[in-house]
Amino acid sequence: MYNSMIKSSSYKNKDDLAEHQFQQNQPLHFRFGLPGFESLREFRVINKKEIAPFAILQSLDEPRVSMIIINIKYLPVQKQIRRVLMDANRITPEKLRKIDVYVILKVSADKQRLTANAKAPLLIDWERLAGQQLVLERDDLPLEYHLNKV
Amino acid sequence: MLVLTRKPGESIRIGNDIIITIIDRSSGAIKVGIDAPVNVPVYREELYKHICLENKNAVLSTELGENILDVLKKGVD
Repeated sequence: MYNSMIKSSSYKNKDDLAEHQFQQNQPLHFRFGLPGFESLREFRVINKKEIAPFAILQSLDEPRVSMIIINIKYLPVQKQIRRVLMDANRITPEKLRKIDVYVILKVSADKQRLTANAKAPLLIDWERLAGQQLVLERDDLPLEYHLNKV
Repeated sequence: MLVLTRKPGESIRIGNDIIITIIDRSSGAIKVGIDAPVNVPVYREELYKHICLENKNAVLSTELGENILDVLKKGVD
């Protein structure tokens, strides 16, 4: 249940929340845009405690482009994604510790289901204020990972 | 579009640091090897297009954006 996810969010940690609230107004530069939105380069992550651990990724170039995202640390599929990032994409464990990895969520047409695109995670480097969406060339990572598996 | 003819084992250089090598040609498919810097994304076109579509479908409509909390709380048993 997403309800239980929201209630049990680790954002109960005040320091964690404060840090994320600080970060939310920082513009993030996406050098390649996002697939499908290549011309949009500046984004921000909006963290609201009411919807944590979910957050919103919003384009600053085109504010109507906004998506629900979630840090993969809340998802069982995180180990799989991290392993692929390290193995196939040559991202070192040290670098992976410095960045946040999110996935983009999609709401089903009947608004009853949320799925996460585990095949194309977002990497956000808060130190450099930079982001990139990678497409992982792996068949075992689903395009539609059902969140009721959480 | 620039069209070049290459045989297996031959390469094409793009810019200073991208090299595409024809590895093998068999059963109507061509296997290519790509040497590119880590920060240069290399994807199969059909997969990239699929992700484009997924991203476009993930954009929140005005209605969903205004009712985001309800949407997230609805949940699935």
